[in-house]
Amino acid sequence: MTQSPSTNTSEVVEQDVVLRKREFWMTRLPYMSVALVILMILLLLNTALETNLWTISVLSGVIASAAPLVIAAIGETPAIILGNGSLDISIGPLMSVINVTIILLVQQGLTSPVIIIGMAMLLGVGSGVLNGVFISVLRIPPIVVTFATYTIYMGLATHLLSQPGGTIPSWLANWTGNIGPLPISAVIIAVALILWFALSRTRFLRNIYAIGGDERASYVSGVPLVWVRLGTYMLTGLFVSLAGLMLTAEIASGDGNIGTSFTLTAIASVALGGTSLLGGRGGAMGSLVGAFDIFLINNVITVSHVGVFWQDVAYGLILVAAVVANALIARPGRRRGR
Amino acid sequence: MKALEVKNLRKAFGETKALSDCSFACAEGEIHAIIGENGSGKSTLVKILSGIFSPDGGQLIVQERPVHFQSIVAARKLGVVSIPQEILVVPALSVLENIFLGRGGFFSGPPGVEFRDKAHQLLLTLSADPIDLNTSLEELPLSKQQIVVIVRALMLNPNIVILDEATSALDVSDRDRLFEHLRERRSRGQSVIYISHRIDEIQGLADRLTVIRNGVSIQTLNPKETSVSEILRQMSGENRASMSGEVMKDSWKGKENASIVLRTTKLKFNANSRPIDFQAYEGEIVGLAGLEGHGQEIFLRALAGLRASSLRGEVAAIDRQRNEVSIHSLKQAYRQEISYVPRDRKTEGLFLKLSIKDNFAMPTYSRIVKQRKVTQALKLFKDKLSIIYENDSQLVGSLSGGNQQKVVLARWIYTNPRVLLLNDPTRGVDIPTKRDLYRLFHELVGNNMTIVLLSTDLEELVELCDRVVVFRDGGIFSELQGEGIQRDRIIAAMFGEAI
Repeated sequence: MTQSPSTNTSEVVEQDVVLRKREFWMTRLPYMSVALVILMILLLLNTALETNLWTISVLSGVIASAAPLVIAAIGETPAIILGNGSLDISIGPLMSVINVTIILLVQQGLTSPVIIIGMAMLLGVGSGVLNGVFISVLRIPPIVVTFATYTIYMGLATHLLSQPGGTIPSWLANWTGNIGPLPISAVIIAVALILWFALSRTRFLRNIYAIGGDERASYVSGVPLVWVRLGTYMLTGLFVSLAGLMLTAEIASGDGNIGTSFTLTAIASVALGGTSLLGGRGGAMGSLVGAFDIFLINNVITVSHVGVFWQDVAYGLILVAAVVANALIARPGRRRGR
Repeated sequence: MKALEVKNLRKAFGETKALSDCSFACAEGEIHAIIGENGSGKSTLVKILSGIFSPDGGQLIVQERPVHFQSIVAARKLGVVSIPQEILVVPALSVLENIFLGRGGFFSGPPGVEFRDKAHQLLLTLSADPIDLNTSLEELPLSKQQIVVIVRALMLNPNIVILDEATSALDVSDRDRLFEHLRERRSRGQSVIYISHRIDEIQGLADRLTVIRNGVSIQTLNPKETSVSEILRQMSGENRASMSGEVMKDSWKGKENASIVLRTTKLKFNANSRPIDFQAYEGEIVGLAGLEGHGQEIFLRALAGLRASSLRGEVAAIDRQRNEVSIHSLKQAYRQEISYVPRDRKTEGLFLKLSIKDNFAMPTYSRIVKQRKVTQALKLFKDKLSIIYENDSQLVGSLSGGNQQKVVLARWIYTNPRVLLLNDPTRGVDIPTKRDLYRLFHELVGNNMTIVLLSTDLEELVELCDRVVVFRDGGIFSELQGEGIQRDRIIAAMFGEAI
């Protein structure tokens, strides 16, 4: 057989490299760029509508109110990256259960941070195990499993606390305040992000991406699918326990229905933040930006005093536009499938 | 010493016996080939050896010790790693991450410098063009993706590596590099089990060859001392004529007497590439050849109306009234009775979750369908192409690869096109099936159909084509005709050498 080396081949390769670089700039924008652009626009709008936005007290109020959604969105991210229809819709009612449980503990006189934070984590991770076992071991579709737990948690939360009310310990109430100029809620968000970035260097989180990208390739390469899937839902639960704590700090009382709406807004934040609903692509930073977008959209709509109907329509339209824009930039340049 | 031995292995799926009595032994420092028709049980054997299936009976012996593989990881721990036929990669992840996939503990960090270096070295050994560890897989052509899959397995440094038709997407020079590497492993006392449909590859590479037929291992031979026809006879179990001896060239009238049905004018892949003026004539089989990524595939897809965005120039069909109609989409091509059979049947060819019949009749479903007519037509193709299935409402995904390929081909031939564009139609298809297909292609061109055939199998081009157009660097390098179509001349042209 004739041997190959010839100058022509390397020329082709070089051309190809140039072409690829050009493609990179045209199509490989950061996955969260749409969310970032929207964030800029919203910050400008909010500045125009609310001129005192950039004072420490207002800003830390904004961050504290947005924090439960931000952390819930970060928590939803790994479940969605896992792909193949994976998602966790039970997170909203789970936040309610955590909220209500904290109020009940306080009523029993148990106000120590160790007990309250420990209990929240137990509930979050426990829910992750429950969802995870059905999804990962018994192979029941995630939407079915987490819808079932969604309903169970909703019933459980309203049953445990039929009337909204109750009080929270002062250490938890302080989570909405500041240490000097630094909002504590920002620290809580930072804790969630640090956990994410610490994990993102591990095989565990990379394997979530791998399974989301191609399940069969992961399987034949020896990725432990069952354990990684189970771990993913536990990780989501862990983040949600933090979101539940933050939510409780924010509303400073108990309400069995308070968390329900977070399921959809968190999933919307993840999608807006550029994480592919098909799995395998995206990340927690995008979800963070996406969650701030959603929070600020609501804020703009509220302060601009348009009717409720138009609020919902505008909200929906912005979401659709953002998700479409994300899909457009995420599209691989040329299909190299041969 | 025997590195791996298999004794009387059995495996059944319900009623179907995939393996009924399979035995062979692979020595240390040996390249052992396994050959068999589609459905002979090779894939089942590989899946047992790689720990995906557990056998119903029989023995598996590694390093003289009987073993049971519980999982892929368990097989790997005993030094047995297989490289699957399909190119399984995670497209969004980098080359490095794809190579590292499935390794390390649950919470262990990214691969270290040593691993990177080793992976880089191995990529350099196996690929003629450099592959950057940080490129994402979706940026790589299929041929390079396959190299990544091979490197992923070899990085485990297995004592026994099993290649299950794992070279089908490689271009010629990379395949030679791989073979060189496998020989080097052999000299280090490691073993290779090599499964392929290409007898020429096996004869050049393997020390011994085991033939499997209907789930039974027939015989272990020395491939270098056994003739091709003998190997074929062992595989099929009957005395079929040798394929290479059979002259199948038909009596194409030649350019002078035939009319043009499809042409390109000044077709350019990008601003710098050479323009392509090409004509396809009625009743000919014209072959497209070239090293992977030299433009022949982009060209074939352009003929089908699937134009890459950077493409300039004109593709036109000449219809029955001798009018020139330009083609810009798959639909326009289909209207001009041009049918395209894509290469990747899983992603571009089949609806895996629909029945065989639905898959077969899909293009005709735009009209009102006469179920009985479709059923009859399918029956005809079933016999003609010997497609093996129980009934036509079975899911197409449940068929073996070769049979799936036949269904795709049958579908497009049933649309009765004037021009049939084939993108490597016999990739991963066994030899008797190939012969059935070749016979069919000849029958089709005999009825004045035109076939444009892109093939990575040079023997196929030599055997079938009236003309062969060889691509290089995004343009036509040379055109071979009639007696001039010879294996070495095609290869020379592929590598840019004038003959």
